[in-house]
Amino acid sequence: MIVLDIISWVLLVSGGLFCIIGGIGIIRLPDFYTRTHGASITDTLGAGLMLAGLGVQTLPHFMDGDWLILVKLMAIAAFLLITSPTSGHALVKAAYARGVRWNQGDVPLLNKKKEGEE
Amino acid sequence: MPRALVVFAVLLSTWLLWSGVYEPLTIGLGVASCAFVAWFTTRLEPGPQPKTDMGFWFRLLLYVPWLLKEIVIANLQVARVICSPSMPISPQMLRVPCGPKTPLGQTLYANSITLTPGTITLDLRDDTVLVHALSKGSSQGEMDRRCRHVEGQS
Repeated sequence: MIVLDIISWVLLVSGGLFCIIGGIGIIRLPDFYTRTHGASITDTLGAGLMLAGLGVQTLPHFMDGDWLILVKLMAIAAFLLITSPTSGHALVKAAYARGVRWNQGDVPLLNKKKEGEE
Repeated sequence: MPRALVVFAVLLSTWLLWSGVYEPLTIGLGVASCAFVAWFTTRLEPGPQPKTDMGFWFRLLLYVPWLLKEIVIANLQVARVICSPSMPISPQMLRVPCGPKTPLGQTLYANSITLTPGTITLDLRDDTVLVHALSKGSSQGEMDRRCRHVEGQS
C-alpha cells in the first residue's frame, strides 16, 4: 500500500525532525529550566509522531486481524504520556529543591513561610 | 502477601498475552521477572487509593483529546521559538492558583502543565502551583477549568 507508506514516512520523518528540534533546543536554551522545555518536545510530538508513523505501518496487519502490534504501540504512547511528565517534574523539582538558579537570578519560593525560615 | 500474588497474576497474564511466543525460555523469563516485580512491590507502601467513579473515567476520556490538541499547538509554538535565530524567549516563574482540590485532580492538572511544552510544574503547595514558563501568554485558565470538571467540581 503505497499511500499508507507515504503517510507513514511523512509521520516518521516529521517525528524525527521534532526530535532534532528538541535536541537543538537543549543546546540553544540558556539555563537548566528552559532546557527542559526543549526536551519535552522530543518526548511528546517527536515520540508521538514516530509512534503514529509506526502505527500506520501496522495497519495492513491490523486488517488481517493482527491487532497486537498496534495495541502495543498505543500502550507505549500511553506509558509515555504518564512517565514523561513524571520524570520531567522530578528533574526540575530536584533542581528547584537544590536551589539551581535560572537566568534571572534566584528561583522564587512558593510560600512565604519558607523564606522566613531560611 | 495476597496483593503480591494479584500483582504476579496480572503481570504474568499481561506477559503471556503480549509476548505471543510460547517457548520454555520466554515463559521462564516472564515468570522470573513477574515474580521479581511482585516481590519488589511488597517492599513499597501501597499509597493512598483515590476514590473514582465511572463518571471520572468518562470525563478523563473526553479530556485527553483536548489535552493532545493543546500539546500539539504548544509543541509548534516552542519549536518555532527554538528554531528562530533570535530565539525570543522570556522565561518566568509563575505562581498559579490550583483550581482542582483533590489529589487526583491536582496530579492531573500539574502533569498536564508539565506535559505541555513551554510550561513545567516545579512545586505544588497550599493550592498554588509554581510553574516555569518559556514565554508569556501560556494561559492555564482553560486547563484549570477542564481539570476541575474532570475532577467532578461544578
